[in-house]
Amino acid sequence: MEPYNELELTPTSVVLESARQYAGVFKNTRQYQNFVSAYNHFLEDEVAQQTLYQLRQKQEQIRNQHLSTPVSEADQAEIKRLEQIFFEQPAVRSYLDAQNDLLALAQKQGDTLSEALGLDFAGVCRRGGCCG
Amino acid sequence: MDNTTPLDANPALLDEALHNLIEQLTHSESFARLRSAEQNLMNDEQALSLLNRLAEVQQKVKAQQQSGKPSEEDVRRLQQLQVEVAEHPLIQEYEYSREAYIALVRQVNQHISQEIGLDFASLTRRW
Repeated sequence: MEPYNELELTPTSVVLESARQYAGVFKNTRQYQNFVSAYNHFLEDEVAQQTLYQLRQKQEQIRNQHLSTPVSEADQAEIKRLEQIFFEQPAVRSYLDAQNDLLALAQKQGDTLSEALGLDFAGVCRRGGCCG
Repeated sequence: MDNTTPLDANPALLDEALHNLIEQLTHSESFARLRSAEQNLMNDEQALSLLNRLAEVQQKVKAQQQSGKPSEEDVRRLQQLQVEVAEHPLIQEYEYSREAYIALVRQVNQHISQEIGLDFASLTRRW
């Protein structure tokens, strides 16, 4: 057995404090700040929200109808039209860009964490297991 | 929105904070116990041989299941090996310490996630 000196071990409270410190720095990154700003802007954008509402209504309507009849070409075209309007909104595009930037940063951080800890960080924390 | 915070001007701070977190985690009792249990397991020929035999029989039974019916003798052997593995003290210690270590890593994720208002581990996942 490889011995370890218990006096040199980091208490759990210190580990968790370093996690909080890390989160504080993460929150101050450009990617996180941009994401929060873009998300709030997206929520406040009336055209984006209205289009999203219409799109969901249409999808719900089609889902209910589709139980008894096939999806009509007119319905498919309407969904396509609403999706196009939605994804063309500047607020939506900014939100998705900001999300991609944030994910790229987090994934890079996660890769470093996984490699250093000798496990798949995202995998062991998957929902249903424990976290979030 | 303020894009000119001092922290943003120095992205290396994020890597520094990450390395500090890694440093603390890899000096935790959970991590030390896991490494110790892993070492004990790797140094025990009987335990390694047991795990190898289990893997061999598992593979054999799986292949038999795919091509038809597995032999009763092999299934019995598999069950017997599974019990032996589950009862082996060094393997038990390894499994226990791995679970404890994973629990700590999950706690770390929960703390980060609470602070940032998003599930951090989900953000790090590559699809």
